[in-house]
Amino acid sequence: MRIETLFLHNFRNYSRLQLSFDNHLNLFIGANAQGKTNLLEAINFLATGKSHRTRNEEEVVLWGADGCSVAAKVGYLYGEGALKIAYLAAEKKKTYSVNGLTQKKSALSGKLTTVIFTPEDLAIVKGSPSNRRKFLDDEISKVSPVYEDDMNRYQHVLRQRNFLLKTHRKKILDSEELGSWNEQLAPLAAKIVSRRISVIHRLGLLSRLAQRRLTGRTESLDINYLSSFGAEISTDLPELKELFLKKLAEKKEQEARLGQTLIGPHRDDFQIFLNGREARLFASQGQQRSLVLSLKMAELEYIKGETGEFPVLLFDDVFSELDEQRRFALLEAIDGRVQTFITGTEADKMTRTKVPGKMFLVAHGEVK
Amino acid sequence: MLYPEPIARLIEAFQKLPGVGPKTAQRLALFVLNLPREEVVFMARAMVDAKDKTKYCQICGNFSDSDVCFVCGDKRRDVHTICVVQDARDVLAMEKMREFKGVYHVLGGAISPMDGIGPDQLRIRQLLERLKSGQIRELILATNPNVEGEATAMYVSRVVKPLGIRVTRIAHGLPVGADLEYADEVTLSRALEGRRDF
Ligand SMILES: Nc1ncnc2c1ncn2[C@@H]1O[C@H](COP(=O)(O)OP(=O)(O)OP(=O)(O)O)[C@@H](O)[C@H]1O
Ligand SMILES: [Mg+2]
Ligand SMILES: [Zn+2]
Repeated sequence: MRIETLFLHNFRNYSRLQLSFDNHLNLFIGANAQGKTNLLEAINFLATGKSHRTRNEEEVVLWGADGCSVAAKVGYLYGEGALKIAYLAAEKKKTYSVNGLTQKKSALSGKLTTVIFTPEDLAIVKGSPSNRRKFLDDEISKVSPVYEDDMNRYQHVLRQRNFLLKTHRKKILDSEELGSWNEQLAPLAAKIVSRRISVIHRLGLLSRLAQRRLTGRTESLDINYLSSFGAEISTDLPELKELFLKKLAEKKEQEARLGQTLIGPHRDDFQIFLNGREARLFASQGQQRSLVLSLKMAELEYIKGETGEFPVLLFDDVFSELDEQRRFALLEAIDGRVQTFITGTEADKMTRTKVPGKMFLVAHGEVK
Repeated sequence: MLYPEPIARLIEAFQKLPGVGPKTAQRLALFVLNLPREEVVFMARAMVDAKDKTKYCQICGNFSDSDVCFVCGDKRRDVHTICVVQDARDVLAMEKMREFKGVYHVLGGAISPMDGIGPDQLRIRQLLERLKSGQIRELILATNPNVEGEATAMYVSRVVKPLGIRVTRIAHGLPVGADLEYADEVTLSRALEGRRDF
């Protein structure tokens, strides 16, 4: 898919903006604090319904304005569509529309999909497990609204269950009340972990390939799911559910003592290995960057495999920090297939590539 | 802007209603101020009256104006089948359908540890009392399909199953008349999970 035209109204430092894009490469060039990242944020906002930079959504509204909107005309392999999200700050309310008709949020799902790479993403390699879980969950949610819904339900059940453990401690352990929460938690945990294991498997193959391409075959990448309740390669739901309930029973004394649920998808992680060593511990800055790049490229291919369309690729700053070999390998990989948006402060590094595209100069909330 | 104390209190009172935030409460309060006095008295009386005069059925917990509600008092109903619902409001919804011939049991909410609601805060003990009669053959669990409603259904099922009574759960999924083509993925998937042999 590709964004043909983007419309912003009172979004960050843009009061009104309309841009038409190239099908392949779009560069946003400008000095610091001019509004380059804001453009990527707007695209991502339209794709996901939220900002990737802040939880506090009022921040995306132009200072002094009472709301904002982002809209786009999107082209697909077959046909096109018009999408819009309008946000009213006073009511904290968003309205969604597709082809001019107001719709539920779910109607926008899959209509615009993005893969975004920002400097903060290096935390996927070096950061805490929650960074990796978020990467995985976001990725799966992009292709599966059902997964997203399961995940929300799981979190909700988890909050209730933790509350129960915390308020009643040992008294509750063998009660039917805790049992009924366990009974609800287990199938959700099984579904989520089963899906994650199979996605990690696919992602493993795809990112391994991407890493080889990016490094001229010198580096090998492996990833491996780490389950908090001993799930390994089986994705069988009844089996995972049994295993989860068994481990839950073993942990119950400890859970009552700590007042929280100690196993489940919310405690899982995945390991990244570079040439057989754990990247979290040993990867250099540059290696972290190319590992994350490989994961993002794998995500791109994964989404294409699941939905039939390549998502739109957004690069915030990271591109200029890659070495020349990786920049070329990357542009070659996406060449002509994936619409890509790249921000940077200097034009020369990027224009040396031969990929056809459009360059936009960004200054003070205006774009030329 | 600061309102005089009586208005501020009225705004505060409206905010206690579900789904009413400060802005809406303010609008409602100013609206009330502009009504004729009789209207306001009528509204206030209606609230107090409803609270004072509403009784609950001693058998099932449904709204009633006497000790036994219109369902429990109806000799033609099948007393071997009990439909368990969260609120009295759900009884009215089921009754509108005119298909269900059994009787009800209103729990008065759903289990929610975060809100301090456990089995003891619901009318579950009363349900178990009713089951002791030995007359009941089937319990239909019609609590909401959300996380709390599901937990409540599971809890009731766990404590009732050992008594040898058949326990069923109403199916959730596609709303009646929904077009498959327009149902979203999540609804479709849940409907698929709830499928049964045919
Ligand atoms: N809600 C808002 N209303 C108006 N201006 C805003 C708002 N939020 C951020 N800004 C302004 O937007 C600018 C930052 O834009 P952005 O983050 O896109 O910069 P950038 O071009 O990506 O810079 P860098 O190269 O440093 O990353 C800042 O000048 C900031 O003051
Ligand atoms: Mg920036
Ligand atoms: Zn009754």
